Amino acid sequence: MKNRLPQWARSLAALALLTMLAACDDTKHYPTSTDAAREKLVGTTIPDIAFGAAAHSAPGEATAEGVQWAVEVGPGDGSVGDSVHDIGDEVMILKARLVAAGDGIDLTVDLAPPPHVDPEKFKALFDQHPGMDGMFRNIVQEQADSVLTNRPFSYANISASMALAVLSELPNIRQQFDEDGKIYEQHERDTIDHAYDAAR
Amino acid sequence: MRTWLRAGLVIAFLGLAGCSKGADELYYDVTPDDAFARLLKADITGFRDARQCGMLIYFEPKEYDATRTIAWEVTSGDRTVARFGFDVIPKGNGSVIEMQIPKAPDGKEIYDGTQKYSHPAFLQPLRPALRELVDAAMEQRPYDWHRLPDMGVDYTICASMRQNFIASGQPYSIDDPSGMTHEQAEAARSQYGTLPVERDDVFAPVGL
Repeated sequence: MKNRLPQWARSLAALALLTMLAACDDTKHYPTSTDAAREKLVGTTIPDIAFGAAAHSAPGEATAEGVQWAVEVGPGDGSVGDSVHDIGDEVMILKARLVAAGDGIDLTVDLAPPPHVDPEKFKALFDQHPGMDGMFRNIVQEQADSVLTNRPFSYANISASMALAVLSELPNIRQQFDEDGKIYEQHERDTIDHAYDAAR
Repeated sequence: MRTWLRAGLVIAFLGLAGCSKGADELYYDVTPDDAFARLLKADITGFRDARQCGMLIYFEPKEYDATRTIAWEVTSGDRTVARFGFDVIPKGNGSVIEMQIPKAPDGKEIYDGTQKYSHPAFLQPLRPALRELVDAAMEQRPYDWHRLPDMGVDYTICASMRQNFIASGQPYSIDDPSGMTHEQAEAARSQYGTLPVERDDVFAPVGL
């Protein structure tokens, strides 16, 4: 017999995920210099597995603070961008900040808007979707950690934050379904009423 | 199995059996006169919009104040495609609403979920959809199909003709051959003249 998890168990699992993620320290220490770390990270790309088919990462670029990766919508083959939403190809910048600390560096991550996106709107978007914020931070952290520790990018290290992002988006998805349903129902009523009016 | 568990199960089954009859009874804590007045204002348009198929249907109410009865004759074109009504029966301090749904030729109710129609008026089954009509009237709110019990996906001709209607804005007619959209029927008529049209025996013969 299929063993389905009851609601309380699923809630507990979600809570455990949250706790695990909360326990993750945003700052990571590496025994290297900022210049050496920057040199290793520049030119790397975050694997497409982190974004799915909808987006991809441009190669890491050096900045005064560290390294940044532009996230672009559309496939990684240089074809069409997202003209529908009028946001251009670049939708987000993932940043790794490198600060000398003791015998090495402290690495922190951040998300920033591309130049054509209003920073207030960008911040508001992630304030409304904290699960997504956590997921992108986790992705850039995993990218930096895998490069600086000479190992392959591991999907397993980002899957928990991805699952949490999906879980946290469920109410929004449900709300979207409900709103679409209401629009369709109104369309149904309008169509029917119009047909009766026309038949008079 | 332990004795206490058996006893518990027996009590639970007895409890369920005791509930089943009452669950079908439409009792409302509303005086009969109020209940009747609320039924007269029932959201029949909301019910129609939620449950009709692809052809236009019209509801003609008939009210009988003496017996607190209201019945609707449902027509399309010049044909009666359905009929139903409600009687308000005083009970205690409230009212029981008794549903009147005519018999189909096979002895069951019309639109009971097993009937086949070439030109259906409603999604089936009708009875739970009418219960919501009564509930909505008694609660003095619009008809809300979301409150209907889950009746599964409807794959009948009614559902497909309703979808065609909503998509095209063009209802079909009771004088169009079954399964054809009105546009297709008009095109066929212009090419072949009069078309054979199926007719439904909706009701059981009088006296049965």
